[in-house]
Amino acid sequence: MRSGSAIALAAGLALAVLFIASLAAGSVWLTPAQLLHAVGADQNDLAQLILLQLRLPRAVLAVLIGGALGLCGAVLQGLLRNPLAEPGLLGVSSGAALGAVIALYFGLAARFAYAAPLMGLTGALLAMSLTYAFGRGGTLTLILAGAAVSALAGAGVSLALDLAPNASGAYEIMTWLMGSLTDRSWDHVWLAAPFILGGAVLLATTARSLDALSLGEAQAESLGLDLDRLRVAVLIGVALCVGAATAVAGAIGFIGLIAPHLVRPFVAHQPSRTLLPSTLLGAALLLGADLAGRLLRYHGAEIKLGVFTALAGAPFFFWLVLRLRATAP
Amino acid sequence: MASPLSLYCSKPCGRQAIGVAAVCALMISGAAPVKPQRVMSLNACTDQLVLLIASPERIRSVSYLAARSAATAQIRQLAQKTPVNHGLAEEILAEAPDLVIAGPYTSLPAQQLARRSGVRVLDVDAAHSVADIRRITRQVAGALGEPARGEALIRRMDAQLAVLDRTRPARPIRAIGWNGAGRVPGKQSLFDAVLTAAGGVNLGAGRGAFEQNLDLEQLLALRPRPDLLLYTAADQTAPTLETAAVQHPILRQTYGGRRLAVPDYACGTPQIADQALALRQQMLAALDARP
Repeated sequence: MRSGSAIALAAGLALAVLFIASLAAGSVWLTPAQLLHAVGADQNDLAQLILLQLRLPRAVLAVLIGGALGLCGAVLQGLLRNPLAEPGLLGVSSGAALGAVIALYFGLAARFAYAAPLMGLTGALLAMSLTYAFGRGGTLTLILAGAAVSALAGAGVSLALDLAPNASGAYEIMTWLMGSLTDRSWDHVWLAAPFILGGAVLLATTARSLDALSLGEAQAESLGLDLDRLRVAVLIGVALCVGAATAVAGAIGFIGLIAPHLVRPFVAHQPSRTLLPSTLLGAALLLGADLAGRLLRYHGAEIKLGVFTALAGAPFFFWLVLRLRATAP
Repeated sequence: MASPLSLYCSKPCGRQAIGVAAVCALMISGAAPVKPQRVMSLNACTDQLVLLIASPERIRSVSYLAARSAATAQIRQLAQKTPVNHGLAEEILAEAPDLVIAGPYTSLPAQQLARRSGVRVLDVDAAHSVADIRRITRQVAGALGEPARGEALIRRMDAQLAVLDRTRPARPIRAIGWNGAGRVPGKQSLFDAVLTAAGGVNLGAGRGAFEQNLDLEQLLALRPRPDLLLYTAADQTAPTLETAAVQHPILRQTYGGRRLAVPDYACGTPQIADQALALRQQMLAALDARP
């Protein structure tokens, strides 16, 4: 318990430091004095515009989305009792991307702003239902089902772009699918926040059921756990979070995989205790990745957020696979 | 004993078939230019040159992108009346053209197939300046056997550009191009050529030859401050992520009505002067509305 709070505190501290750093970092250098002054400055001050209208919404989005992905990973790993469960690997992100692409390129989002997150969460919901329906059973079947759903949704994205009225979509979406928070605004925050917060609350309510489930499905049901209700709650919660996150920031992988694993050794493997620290750590990881992309530039262009999460995530994934192989019977 | 013809044409004629041999023979004999009768253009930019230069009955097809990326309404109308291809190898076999015109993005297998089956293939560069436009217009007009038509188009363009230059606004309009994903066209871009002809100063020109990346922070911090933000898009009619980017609240706040949607000037044609005139009128109207 004590170490559980300690990891939450550490993640929270890291988050706070990274949050301040991401307000200070950007392509235009502003001194700390300018930044402090900007808060009280008049409307047309450049430092204030940059700080309050570009860096702040971007940092807030990183916290919201990173936190949501970390939480989704922790809940999914608890529900499925599968260390590889994560929105990206289960095809949920790809499904959300398909929904968002349809909304963005067929004019739905232009007419009704909430179309993008709504279609994103519909896609996420469908993708996760498919993965879950086909992948129930072992770790392997779930990951295979996730890969199949990802492939299907990826094909859907390509098809949607071929049919879309604008011919330049294919190139644009290639970069968008790598995930990015560049040049986002408060509009994006207001678009995503209601869905993400709603989903996060729903996921947080599953904490005790996840603990019961860690004893095994039969045991949990004998304790009075309504498994179907739990599954539906997680399904909807994850779809809300990932659907809205993907609609504003593209598909961001691996955060949901890494955060719970880094937290787990400190919380005695009790699923409910991983939720808060995973959320905080997920937010800190995404802020860190976004910050790295802004600081390390290539020919003046930011390196995409998704590149960093995948660079850090893929080796981690290999390590997990190796560990699974070592512990498998 | 090698004939003059085989010495002159040994390489191309060795690989290619009768059509090219005929061209070579005519080149040597100094006869009137060959006029291909079944021209097929595989590239959105070469489409426009072909449509302007060749008479409609000699154009077998242009690419399906021709109407969408047309520089002017005149070219769009011509494109809409012309059959389209999709740049595919099979279409080349089916349409049996006597001249295939390809550009930088034409599929290589399609070009290779055309060459192998003995069809003459003309490879045309992308244009990044008015000088480039003169060069590729002459190149295409020559291949189409219409050099006089090409010269006429160039003369018209040069005359229009001279008028634009004489009537340029007293105070240059400082502008920057931005495509919504952070790309800003530089000095060696057609955008720069059109903007300069229109009476503008491209604030992106000092920053890189072709284009460079500028995110919103850098765009806001740019000094001197642009009078106009020219938002470039290949297709202004259908929604994309980039069209949404120009609606960022910070741009609405700082530029308001001084954000103009303009074409991305991807294709250089002799009608560039018409585009520059349209841009000048658009810019002056925006500046009048909001002094």
